[in-house]
Amino acid sequence: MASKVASGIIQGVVQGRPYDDDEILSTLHPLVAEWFLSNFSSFTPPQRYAIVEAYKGNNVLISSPTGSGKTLAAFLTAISMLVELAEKGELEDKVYVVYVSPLRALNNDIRRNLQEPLEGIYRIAEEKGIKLQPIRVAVRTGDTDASERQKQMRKPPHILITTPETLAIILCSPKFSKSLTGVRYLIVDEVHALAENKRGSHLALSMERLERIQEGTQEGRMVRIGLSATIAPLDEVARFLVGFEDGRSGRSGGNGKERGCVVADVTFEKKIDIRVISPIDDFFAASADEISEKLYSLLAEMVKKARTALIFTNTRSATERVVFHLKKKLGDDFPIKAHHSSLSKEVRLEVEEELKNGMLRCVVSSTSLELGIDIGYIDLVILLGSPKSINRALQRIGRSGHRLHDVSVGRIVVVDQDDLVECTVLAKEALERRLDRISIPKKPLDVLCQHIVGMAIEKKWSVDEALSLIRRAYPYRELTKEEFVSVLRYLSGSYSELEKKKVYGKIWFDEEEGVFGRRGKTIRPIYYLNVGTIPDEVAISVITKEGRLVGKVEEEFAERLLKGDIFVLAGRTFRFLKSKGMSIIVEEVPGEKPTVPSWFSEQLPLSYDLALRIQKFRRTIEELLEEDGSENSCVDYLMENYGIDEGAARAIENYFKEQKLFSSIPTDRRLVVEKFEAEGRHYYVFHTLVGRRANSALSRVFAFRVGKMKGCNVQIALNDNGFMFVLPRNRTLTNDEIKALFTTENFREELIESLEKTEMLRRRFRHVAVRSMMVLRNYLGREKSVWRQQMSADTLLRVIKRNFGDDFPVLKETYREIIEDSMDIGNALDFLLKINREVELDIVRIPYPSPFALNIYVLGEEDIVLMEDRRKVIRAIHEKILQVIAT
Amino acid sequence: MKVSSVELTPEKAVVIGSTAIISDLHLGMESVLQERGFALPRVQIREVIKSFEEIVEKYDIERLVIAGDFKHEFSRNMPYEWEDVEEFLSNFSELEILAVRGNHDNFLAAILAKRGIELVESVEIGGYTVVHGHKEIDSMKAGKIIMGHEHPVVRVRYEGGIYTFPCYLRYRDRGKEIIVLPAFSPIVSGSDVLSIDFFLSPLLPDVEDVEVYAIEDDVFYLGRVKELRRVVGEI
Repeated sequence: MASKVASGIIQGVVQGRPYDDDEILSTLHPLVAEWFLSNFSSFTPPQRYAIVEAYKGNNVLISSPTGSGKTLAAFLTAISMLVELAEKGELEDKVYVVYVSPLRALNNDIRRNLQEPLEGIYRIAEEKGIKLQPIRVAVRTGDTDASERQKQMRKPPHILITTPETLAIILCSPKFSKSLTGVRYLIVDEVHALAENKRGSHLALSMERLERIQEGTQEGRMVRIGLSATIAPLDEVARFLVGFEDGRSGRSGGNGKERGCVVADVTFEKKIDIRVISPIDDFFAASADEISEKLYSLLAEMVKKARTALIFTNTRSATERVVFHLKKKLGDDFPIKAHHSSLSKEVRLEVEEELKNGMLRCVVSSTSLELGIDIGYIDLVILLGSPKSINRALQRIGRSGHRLHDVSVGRIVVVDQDDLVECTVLAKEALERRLDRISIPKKPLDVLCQHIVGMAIEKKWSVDEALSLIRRAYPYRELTKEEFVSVLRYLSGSYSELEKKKVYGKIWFDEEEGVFGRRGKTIRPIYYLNVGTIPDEVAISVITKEGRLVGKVEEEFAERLLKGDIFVLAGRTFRFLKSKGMSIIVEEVPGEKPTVPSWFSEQLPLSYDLALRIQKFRRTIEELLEEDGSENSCVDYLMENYGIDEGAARAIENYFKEQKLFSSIPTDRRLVVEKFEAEGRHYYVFHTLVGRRANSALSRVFAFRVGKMKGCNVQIALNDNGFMFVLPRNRTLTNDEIKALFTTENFREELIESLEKTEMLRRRFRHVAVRSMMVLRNYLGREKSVWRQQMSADTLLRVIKRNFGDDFPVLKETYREIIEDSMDIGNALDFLLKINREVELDIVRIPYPSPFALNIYVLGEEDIVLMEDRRKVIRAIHEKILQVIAT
Repeated sequence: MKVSSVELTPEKAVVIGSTAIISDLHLGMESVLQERGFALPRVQIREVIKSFEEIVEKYDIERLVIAGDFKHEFSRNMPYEWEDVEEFLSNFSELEILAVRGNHDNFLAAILAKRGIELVESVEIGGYTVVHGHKEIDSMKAGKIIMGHEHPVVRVRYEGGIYTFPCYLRYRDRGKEIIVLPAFSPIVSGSDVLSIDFFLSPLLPDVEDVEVYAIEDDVFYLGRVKELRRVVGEI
């Protein structure tokens, strides 16, 4: 890290320091300082770190808990500046402060939170007879109506509150963008909810485009202030926030000069109290009904004792289930409600209101209440099942204890043996604040496509100028000129030499001159309607013959069903009869064996860092079990070091003992592979505890290798703790063949090959095609999926691949997104490299699934890697039909 | 595979002597998709020309009959359609080309006229009447028919995977015979004869009664739809 330079402007990413009250007050306008002192006794930690630095013109990233005054931390310097201008009568009709939040719902809250200090300051000014020009604050999102937008055009707000998507749109607005040339402060809230995904990549480019139109138009630079919940590594997130001075050099790794940023993590200022609770001592001995009964009794007890409890589940369906059971336990009039993203906006707002007013005793939520909506007083957060990442655990638990000095109380209630182990480790790591590292997507080309269209609308660009701007954005720092030009070719409709007329071009691009720009008048409305990175999921209703709705499945799943297929939905078995518009017709066939693997929407994956810590924990427990003569050493150790009760500690001890007796304990030094047979089929369980993202990559490549070796399709089941293969009757793997799977050679290529014809490829391809504006989801008033009408994603993929190869930007990004964002090829390789070095391979034959393998085993067939060639399939049917005809 | 006096080739063309019959090329479909907001680059023409060149080579083709839907859009001529159709024609200028009108082929006549090709309602080849199949014809006159229009495919599940095969259909009934060609276009979507309730064409009988000849590296006889539906449910 570079050190401070004399001017006060820092370089590089620098750890911040807290300033004292006097230092902070001295930077504020007297009216603002007076207002502050009349309302607060002193500054909160985020305010101590942020205000003075922002005043000096430094970029700031603060990671802080909710209720710690972070809004003021971000805004106070800006307000002070605005008041100063207002006093001098120098406030112009332009935007000085842009505030961006990924949560539309948060925007109105923020405006209200700003109204209060502004009114206070104006009151003081009035008392003193000081005349201030009015400071305007306005919200602008996709919901803002035309008359309000017009108003903002005529009289721009001084503080603009907006979303990443709307920011991208207004950057292209010829009139409104003129109001954006004097932005002094850019505040990005909820950075943790952006950095990890494509909305963040999208915003990173918008920030650079906003920065560009500042250049040469004002005295000071635009100061960026980022606010985040718990996140790591903070340095990298800071770089994501501030980007680079210049993107010219652009060589991989060695980029233009980093902009400076002061970082501070004050999340630890808020005390937390986390404990893991098991509803039962032995999950194996109890029936599912018993476990469920005990679980809901426990939850009901906890809720009754709390004033207001917030329960987090990991899925929407679980949310409803918990509300249902708690109502049964606590009575129908007990004030408890669900809050999740499938509920309508009105219902959610109502629940939030009731929560704020203290009318509810309990709210059950999936992920929708994780982010910073002000939810009032919560004294207990219950996490039902592992939250899968330490950061998420802290974030969720942080929702309790409204003020900074309150203790956040979180209880993790576990649902099975593996969950108990996972949460025991997680709770300790969370208490010790060893966070998991996030990963920031690398140069997603689909998001880039959108921005290039937007940039082309804005003005005419030279290729180098545009490339240099794009590389200033952290996610795109390594974008090569070749990649950039290939995206320009694609967007201009000149990707193929066949495109003489470039009929579908969205931009105009003169490759010889090296310039590009807008093409046609219709592109602007098209761009406005299609901007954004969140894919529209099309849900298909599942309806019985009798007309009853039984649930929904995703479009891709429905599309692959054939007449007569049997599948499982919400624990029931159905036979597919036919498709009808946006629904499918089924009949219930209880007890029939499914012919189609259930396809789960992507679940919350266990973070790799946490997975490694659980591996290590397994070794610790194994070592304790091996210590002779100390009957209770393991239980004592767990109770002492992990704060769990004796029952839970004994449950863990028993779980490990059984695994050890029956098979072998997988640890960070030993990878166990178990093989067994059931009903004539061969099962192989790989206890690769690396999280499902990395497991997904490992299992697909291994299955691909096995399939090629044995000439058969391989069925896969996987979770965070490992994966399982099921081979057909006469196919087995020798120990040497298993060992040979563990190689990094051709891993990436084989992973891409293994994706051929998978649901995941089709689904992601659609999303990427929409994001890169290959398929417009909203075009000339039409909002219909072209896919369903005209052609299959399979055909399209095949044709594009055959004609343009894997480097076609839409295809390239599809593969990248799958293997880097959805899966985790990096950590899969990281793990693979350890095998036979620090990790030994232990292949064990067992008579039936081991305790550690049970959860994977019961998943059944989740996915399949296809290896049977088409000729073989058609011959098999041909022969069968000949037999039928002959008889 | 030889059936009656015609060859059903794995290249999606019926060959009678030195005549090849193909159907449903849907040239210029990309223009139409692009107009609907789907920016598919121009891909078909290249593939179609290449596939047909192989057919000409392999079967010594001197005459080509296009059994309708040469181009895609019905209401007017799209930018690529002119180009694609012309490019196709000029690539095979040494062949005699006959074009049967399909339901997508309005305005095609103008393009063809430039090359002196007439767009006709039907063509007689080796005892067969070649039509597109989208409307009734005088079936008294036409005992044996070769048609397109249906884009037939069979989709089957096998060991967890889904496989789609383009196919020919054939129907025989007391001296009458109908052969349905698969779509020659590599991108147009197929219609799975195992799951549809009825055919589009008024010329065809009940779905269950037609026979399926599926295409892979070779052509495979898969029996009547009635039996096939049962068999694919069992494998």
